[in-house]
Amino acid sequence: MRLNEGRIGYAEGIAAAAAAVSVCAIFSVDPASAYTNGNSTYISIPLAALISLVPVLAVSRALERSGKGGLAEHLECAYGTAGAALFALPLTVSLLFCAARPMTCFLDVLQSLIYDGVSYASLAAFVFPVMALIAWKGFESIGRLALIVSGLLVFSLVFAVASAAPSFETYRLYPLMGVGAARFTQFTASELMFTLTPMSALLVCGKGLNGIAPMRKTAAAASIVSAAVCFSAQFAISLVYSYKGLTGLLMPLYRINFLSLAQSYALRLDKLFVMVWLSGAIVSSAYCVYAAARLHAGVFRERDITPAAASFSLVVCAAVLAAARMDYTAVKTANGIMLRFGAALPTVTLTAALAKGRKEKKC
Amino acid sequence: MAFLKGKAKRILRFDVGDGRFELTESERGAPRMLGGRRDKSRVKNRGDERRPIPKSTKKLRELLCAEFSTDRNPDLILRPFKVGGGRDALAVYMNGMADDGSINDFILRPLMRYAGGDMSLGALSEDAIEIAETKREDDLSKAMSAVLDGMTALFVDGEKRCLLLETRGYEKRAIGPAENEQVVIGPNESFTESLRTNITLIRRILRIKELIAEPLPSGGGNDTDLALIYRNGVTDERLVAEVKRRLDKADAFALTSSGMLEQLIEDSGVSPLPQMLSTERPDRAAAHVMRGRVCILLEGSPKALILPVTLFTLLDSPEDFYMRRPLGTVIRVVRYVGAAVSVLLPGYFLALALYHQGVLSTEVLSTVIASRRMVFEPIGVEMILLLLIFQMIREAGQRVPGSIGQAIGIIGGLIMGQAAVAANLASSVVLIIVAASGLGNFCIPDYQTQIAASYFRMALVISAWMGGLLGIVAALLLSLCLLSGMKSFGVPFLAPFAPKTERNKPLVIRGRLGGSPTDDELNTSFDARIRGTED
Repeated sequence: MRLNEGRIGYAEGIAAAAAAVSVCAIFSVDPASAYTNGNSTYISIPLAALISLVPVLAVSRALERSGKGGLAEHLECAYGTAGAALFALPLTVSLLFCAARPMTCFLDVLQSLIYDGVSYASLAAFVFPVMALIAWKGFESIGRLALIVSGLLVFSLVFAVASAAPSFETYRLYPLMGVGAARFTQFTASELMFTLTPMSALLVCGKGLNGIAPMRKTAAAASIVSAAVCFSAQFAISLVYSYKGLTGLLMPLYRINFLSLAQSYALRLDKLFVMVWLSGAIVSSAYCVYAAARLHAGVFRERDITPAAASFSLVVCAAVLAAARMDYTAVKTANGIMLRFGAALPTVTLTAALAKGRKEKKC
Repeated sequence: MAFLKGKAKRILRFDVGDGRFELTESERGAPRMLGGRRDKSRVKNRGDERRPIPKSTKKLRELLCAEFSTDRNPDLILRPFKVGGGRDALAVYMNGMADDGSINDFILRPLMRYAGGDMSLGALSEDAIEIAETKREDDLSKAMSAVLDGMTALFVDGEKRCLLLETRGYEKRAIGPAENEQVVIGPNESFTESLRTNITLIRRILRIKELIAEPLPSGGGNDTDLALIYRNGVTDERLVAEVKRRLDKADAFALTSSGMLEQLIEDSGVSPLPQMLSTERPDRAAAHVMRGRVCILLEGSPKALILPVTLFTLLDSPEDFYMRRPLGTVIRVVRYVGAAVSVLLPGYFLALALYHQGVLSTEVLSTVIASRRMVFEPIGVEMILLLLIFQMIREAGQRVPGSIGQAIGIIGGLIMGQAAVAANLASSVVLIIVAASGLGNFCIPDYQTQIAASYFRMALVISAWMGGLLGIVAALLLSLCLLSGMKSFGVPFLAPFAPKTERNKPLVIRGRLGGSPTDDELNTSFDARIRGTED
């Protein structure tokens, strides 16, 4: 067996899932859809993080009823290999998108703000081998790395937010909740892509979390933690920048340091903070890639995740390099579609899992 | 054909477990990439072949003469004599390994003057022989192993068994002060090359009935002994069984040092970090045994191997616990900072100087520029060269006798550094960074961990040279990924931090003295009480 699941505890599981949700939800926000007509991200993103817990809990009950340790095995048992592959595909795609999207944003930031003029491929050469190796090493390493990185991640976020506190102005929250309930709901639904997908990964890695019951506790805690982290970060951003200012801003959390820390030594920590956030993004991407590989291995009853993990890492790398050239219409369109309607993908898989989990079926 | 088929099967398939031992996880380990087997059965030297003892001492003498080539090898002494002037007997011992005085005074003389009627081994043992420790043995192989170890074997004509008499009396080094793990406060004794002495040193500290010192064959071709020391009832039985299993599989041409044994039984041979703690201090070994770890002592090696260990065990010093809590804590924090500086500082400085000058203040930047104005080589080359020279000075200082070693350190460190700056071969700023990093390296108490830290440091310097902070992030994540996957006899290497365990004591801040062994992160993991792992 080379599923590399290991066994991880609550702390590691929560760190892995919460870091993935937070990184995706804080650093992968599409400014065009999030800030064009007002800023409601500080409510909609935490709300999406909390909402995503509901389907995860529901599916976990279905897994419990079917007696399967993971989502892949449950789908395979319910629909056979072909059907399971069909239903697992949307979640696999969304997992790979969640792995690629933060990396795209970070490589953009690295290229434009830190490594001026360095090619995208050169930067990617440092990031993707590491991500692939972590994904290859498996869930145990991912969980432990996430636990190590999450402490630094939270510290750097708190420091960035606290350092921007003198620039907070409540009038910048206007218009409250964006412009209307419809747009708010639409944005929250689209953000489910970045919250539901990493949470669904916990369902895939149920065995590594020592079973369904610990997995449920992990998911609940991860959902609350990530909602709190996302709220803090997005609320601070909303208090510092008006929605109009945010529309064209690349990684606002990075920029808020400049407002209050100019001429101080603390300003010099900004690049370090980006590196800490990048570490979180690499671990989160590895988590998503591993979950996709584990899902693939479970559906096809393979005993080894490493070929899938290596292939998916390559796919993510290729997608990120393709996304670097957004002038390709196809890439741009695909990216836009995923950002708007991507949340439907994990929903399809989870609905399929839920549909067959109602009866007391033991496979 | 079958061999090739099996080999091909192992290469192509991944479902063959390699029997890796894990205490905290039930997931089996992955087989090697090319399907090689880790566990190889070895040919044992001792105890494999059971041989009866010939009843005739004459026959036995001929047999032993032929086996030990006594015509060329006069060390084996075969001393025939008559018990009480009647029954033939043969005393066998190794010259130099056994104490001649004891043999003459307490074995040969009483037996020759024996006047009792019963000449059986039991009667001789009870009524004639004046040696404290005697043992009956009916296997010739084991008897001769004992003879090679310094005991005397007494064979009596007509008996199927022999008596093994404790007469070990070879020369050995006296107990001396610890040289590599010195402390200001605390005991100064260190282990010697004698296994018996080393066990005694531990027993003198741990006077408890649960202390087990189990003798085992080491697995080396030279057939040395080792002792497995653990605390019965506190040390996890599965851990003891696993250590025995690995020792049983250990196979080396000759085992002359605990360092060799360590390589034979460790989890990962390619990891730069040690997975066992090698110590020369009996107090340190005793403290770890008390907390439920296993200690291995090898005959001929003045070091004890402690297992399992974590990264934080390797960074601990016995002195942490010999001082009051605040002082112990401060020293420990300084040590951790020193270790971090040692690993991170050169790479971080290089990344800032090469790629992120904006992070440095104008004053620092101008100092760096001014100090490097006349230096001809790139800063990356300069840093790597100075780190290499530092390692060379250190290595040279260790290989030569004490006072000359110190002189090398002074000449290398001060005079050469000064001269290099004056000759514009190195800049003073980089020299200071390398010196600070080297100083931090010496804060790490374990020698092997010091070397491992220098490997990580070099990797970070090269990564920083290639990619600045991004390179450092990549190298650090890779290193952490490897460390997080590492295990020492089933215990995760980064425990109790990652995975988080139910450890009551703080990790960096020194905890209170006292408490039960379950306070230790290792014991909590043995009890499967790592959160979420209860099955």
